[in-house]
Amino acid sequence: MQEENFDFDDWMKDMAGTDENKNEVCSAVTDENSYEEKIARLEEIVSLLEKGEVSLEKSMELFQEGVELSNLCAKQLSKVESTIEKLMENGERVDFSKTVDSDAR
Amino acid sequence: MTKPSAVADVMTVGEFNRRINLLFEQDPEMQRARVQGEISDFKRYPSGHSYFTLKDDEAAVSCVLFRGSAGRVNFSPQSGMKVIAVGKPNVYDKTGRFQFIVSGMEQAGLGDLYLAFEQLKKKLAAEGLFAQERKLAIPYIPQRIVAITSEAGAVIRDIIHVLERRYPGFNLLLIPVPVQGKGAELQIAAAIRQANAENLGDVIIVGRGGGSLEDLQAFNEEIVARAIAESQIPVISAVGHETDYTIVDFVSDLRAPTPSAAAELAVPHKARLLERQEQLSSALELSVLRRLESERKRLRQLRERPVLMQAAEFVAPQRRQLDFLRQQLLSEMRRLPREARNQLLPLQHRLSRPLEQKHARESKKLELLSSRLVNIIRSRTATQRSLFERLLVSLDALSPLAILARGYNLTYTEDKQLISSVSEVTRGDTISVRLQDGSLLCDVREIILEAGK
Repeated sequence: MQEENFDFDDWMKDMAGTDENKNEVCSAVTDENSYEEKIARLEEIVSLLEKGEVSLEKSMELFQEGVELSNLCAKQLSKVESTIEKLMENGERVDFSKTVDSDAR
Repeated sequence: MTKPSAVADVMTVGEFNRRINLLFEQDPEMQRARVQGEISDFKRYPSGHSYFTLKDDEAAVSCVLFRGSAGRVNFSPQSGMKVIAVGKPNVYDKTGRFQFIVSGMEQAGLGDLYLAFEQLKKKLAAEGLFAQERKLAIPYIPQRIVAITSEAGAVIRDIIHVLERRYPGFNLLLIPVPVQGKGAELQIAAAIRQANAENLGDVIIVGRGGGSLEDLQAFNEEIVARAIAESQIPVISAVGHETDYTIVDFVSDLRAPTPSAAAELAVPHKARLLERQEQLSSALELSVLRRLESERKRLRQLRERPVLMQAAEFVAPQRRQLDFLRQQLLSEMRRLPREARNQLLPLQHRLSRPLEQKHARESKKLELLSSRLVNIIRSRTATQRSLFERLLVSLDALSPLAILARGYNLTYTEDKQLISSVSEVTRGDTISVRLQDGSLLCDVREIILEAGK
């Protein structure tokens, strides 16, 4: 008897994770990369996971990588305090935000 | 009627002014005078009339260009332009003001500044300084923006205002410079060079508000153009208001029409970035949760597959068919009359023997087949069971990952085995605890067994 809609050999292949890297465009992206590169890799990971074509083990790795990237990106955007400085002729930097505040607002 | 002689040659002021105009009118050449000079103080009023002064090195004359005549001038007159004006002299009755009423105008060569601008533009273009392939890319999120402009005035305030709105958390360094007047170009160029030499930022905005060609002169100087061309830091130019183009605009890596626009080009919209990051983050979690759910479903379905049921059920239909045929044969024979049956008896024997032999053969074949099937199923279920177990381990290892973020953690032995019971460790063991953002390496100091577990 044939198993109707389940291909055992394919499943074995899946589990062994033989055609792992065929869908990957970028290699590992780290904190060294730019924000754009990190977001691009994150987008790629999400689309790979959504397609569901990678093995479960690989999915786990991708998920882990995605969580790390997402955290790095969030961290990069989390700083909200701006610095506004003026360069003096002697090379010193002085806060300029007050100067602007007082006459601009 | 006679007038007193003392009064006879006395004119009213109005008459005097009119007589002067009559004198002018007697000279046809003066009625169509062509005068060359440079326009200055050009002012156009809402009425449509324009007033300006026409001057050269030695002299100046007030001019008026009435609305009706202005329509016949096919260029837009501006201060600094050299023109040939056609018109007639006139003394205004009411004020006695002498003026040149201009009825037509043509450009007499362009102003010196304009010529210098065109020449420099041509020269730098020929050197390839404006070439698209020379342009540096503006960083997506700059670490520090260097603004080279006047510290007073609206420009720096506009820039700061836009940066605060779009990307809170920016870093801005202002290098204050004069943006017009003698020597301004030297300081602007020096500031650009200093930003590069001291690596003060990763994008430069250089600019000023709008103004006349004279006001913008510093941004049309070769020294500034060269400093920008040599800059390793990408430069966004922001000179004037939209319509004003300067040499700096051509040579910069990106030209912004206004200082506010330059700030917009320098940083992305942070709120949108955050939105996208959050979208991706939840899509990531969702995709994994979905995957886990579908793997669980797959496991459930595998466990319930008919292939795992009794193999005998597959043999039964064939066996039933065989029994049915046999019964049919026997009942057919019973219905025959005795003698015919007797006649048929040897025939029946002849018939039934191969049939029985066939039955035996088929049965044997079926049994062989079913035992093979059972064997195959056994070995496959064994493989599947071990795969199920691997899968379950994966599932168990994976699902907590999604909730590590909520403070759960995974504990592993030194050889990366997941620990679920205190019985798996002994005092002094080194274990690693995995949290959402890293791992802790811990030594087991004591093992506390909870009562009843």
